[in-house]
Amino acid sequence: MKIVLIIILSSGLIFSQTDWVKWNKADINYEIPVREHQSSSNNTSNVGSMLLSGLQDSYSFLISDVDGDNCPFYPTCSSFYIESIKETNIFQGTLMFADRFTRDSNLYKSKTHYPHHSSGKYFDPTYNYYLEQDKVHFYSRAKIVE
Amino acid sequence: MKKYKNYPSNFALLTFLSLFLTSFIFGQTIRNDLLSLDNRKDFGNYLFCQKDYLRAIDEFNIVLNGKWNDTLQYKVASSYFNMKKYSDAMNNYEKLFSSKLISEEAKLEYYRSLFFIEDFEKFRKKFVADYFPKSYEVQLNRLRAYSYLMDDSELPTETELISKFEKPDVKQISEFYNWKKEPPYKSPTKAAIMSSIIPGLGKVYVDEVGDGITAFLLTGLFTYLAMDKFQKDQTTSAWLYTALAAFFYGGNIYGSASAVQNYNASIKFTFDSEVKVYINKRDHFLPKPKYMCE
Repeated sequence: MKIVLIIILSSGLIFSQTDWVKWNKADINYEIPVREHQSSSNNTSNVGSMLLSGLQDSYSFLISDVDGDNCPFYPTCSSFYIESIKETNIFQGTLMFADRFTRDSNLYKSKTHYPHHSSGKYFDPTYNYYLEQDKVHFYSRAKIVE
Repeated sequence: MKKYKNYPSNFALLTFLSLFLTSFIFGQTIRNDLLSLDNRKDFGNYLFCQKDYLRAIDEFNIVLNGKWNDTLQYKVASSYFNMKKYSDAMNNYEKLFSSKLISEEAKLEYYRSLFFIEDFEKFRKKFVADYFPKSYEVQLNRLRAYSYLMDDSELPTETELISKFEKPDVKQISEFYNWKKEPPYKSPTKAAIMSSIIPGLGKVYVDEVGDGITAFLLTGLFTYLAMDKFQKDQTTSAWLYTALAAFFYGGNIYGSASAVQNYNASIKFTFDSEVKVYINKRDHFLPKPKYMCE
């Protein structure tokens, strides 16, 4: 009887220590999540799209990934260019990009007239630059755009 | 005698036991009137005053199914209104249009809900409806006049619009009217022309001075480099710089026009916000809704 009691008590101690997993080191990832993925489009619908996606992929691989996430705007300048060409045409898209590039290079860093995006960047969507007043959307500076 | 010696203590014990046991019976008895319509009404009123509108609507609807009550129906509609479910509120206020007691209040709230939906054209069209509340004609006409400032429909004359308001509001309404009539928008064409003459000037025109100076410097720098290379007969680099100068020059003209559009959007946004703040401050020129919790 004593032996049985000792075995039961001992086994109780063993089982009470079996929740090892709970006390394991937490697997925490400190990497800042990337909000915007440069999708490798591989668009082969026409020559223009092929060239554009090729340029975008080359820029992402050779410059953007090495240089880091430095653009103060959301969407980034390269995404802005691609999106503006897709939404308008190559000529208007290039003009939109030239303007964006100038604003990005602002020597005085005066960017108070942009709303903030939840990524911490300035929100500067393409649809505000199509030269169509109806599509222009003004965001309150007090709010953060999601 | 010995037989009856413990009689008082036995009696006390028996009494205690009887009372104790019967308390269970009474304790478990459900009072039939707990879920009575009156109690549900009181509970609904309590929930309504606690702003627990969804549960209040449930309680009120049960009462209304058993016994019609205009005030409760009004509170159901008000609950929807307070939850900003304006279409539901309108449907519920509509049920009170034939009420003898609160028909006018219900109609007023119906129009208030319609205004909050922000379909101002529909709101104005409803003024010829046969259920228009005559008792609140003056107040609703003010709201109607105000609605012209909140959408892009054709404005009435200033005299007509202002005539609906009393003295303290006239000055402010007049300012709003003049703004709406001639908004201080800037011209995208003018900005584009300015930037084509002096790069960056169009940006300065809409107070984006930093962008304007940057555009001027970038265009100027590449133009200078291009001219310099042409003078030195270095045509390849000269054309490269020319392309870059054209890139920034064209981009700046385009950007100046789009910057004006963004500027105009910001002006309109500020105006709309000011109008909304003012009308909220004046309680939409309407009396406070009745039968609410103070």
